[in-house]
Amino acid sequence: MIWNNLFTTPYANISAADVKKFIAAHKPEEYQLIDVRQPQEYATEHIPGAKLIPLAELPERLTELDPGKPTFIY
Amino acid sequence: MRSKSAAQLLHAADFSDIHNVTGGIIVYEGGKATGGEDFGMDFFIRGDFNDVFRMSYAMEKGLQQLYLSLEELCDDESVKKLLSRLAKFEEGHKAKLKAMFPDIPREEETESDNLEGGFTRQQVLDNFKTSNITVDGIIHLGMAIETQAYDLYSRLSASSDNKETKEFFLFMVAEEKQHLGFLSAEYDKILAKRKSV
Repeated sequence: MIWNNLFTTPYANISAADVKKFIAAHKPEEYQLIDVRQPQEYATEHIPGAKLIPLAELPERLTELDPGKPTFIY
Repeated sequence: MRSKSAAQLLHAADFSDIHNVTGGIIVYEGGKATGGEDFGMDFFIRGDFNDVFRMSYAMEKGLQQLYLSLEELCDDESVKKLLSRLAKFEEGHKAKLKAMFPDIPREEETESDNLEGGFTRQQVLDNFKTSNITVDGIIHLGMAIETQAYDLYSRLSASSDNKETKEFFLFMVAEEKQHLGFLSAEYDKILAKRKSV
């Protein structure tokens, strides 16, 4: 059993600058922007349009998301 | 750090186009990225494993050592207490794994503090000393790691064709989720306290 097969990078890294560009060039319904921090961190500041789903709640809230859309997470 | 683990969960749920925003909100708002972003389970678990038991055991042992290391570095009493509690849980998980897989021959455990993959606790400590880890960093790391453990056991449960093993891994999934909940609740308390000061 090769550990790395379970944990190969399952996502692409994107820079904050490129997220800004993507957001500017697309309509909100074309992508999902997820904030996985705690509600209080979100309240202090968040990227406009981001949906708050704290990491601890993510497992049971996956159904709120569309697996087919480009998904950005921070 | 937390977003990397979240990306892993989405990947497990067959999301097709996942992007982790490096540096998160801090960099987005024009700040500078802080260290530790790349730290994950793969830091202390490397290489191949012959079976599910060895891999899970290595993970639990790695987690336990990590929590003990972080406890040494942490100066917040309530977080220290939580870290020591989490380290104890991992001890319990090691015992549960041994009981679940009694037939697998294994090497005698040594008293050495070597983490699986050849890292010593000192190397873990040094890694965080140089990156100047904060209480926030410690909690973020714990949450990220517990999520990785949750993901690992979910995968093991899904891929297991033996009913008993499947249920066992599901039990471990629930446990890791509970640990994630402990960290989340503790962090909420810290954030609330900070706000009221």
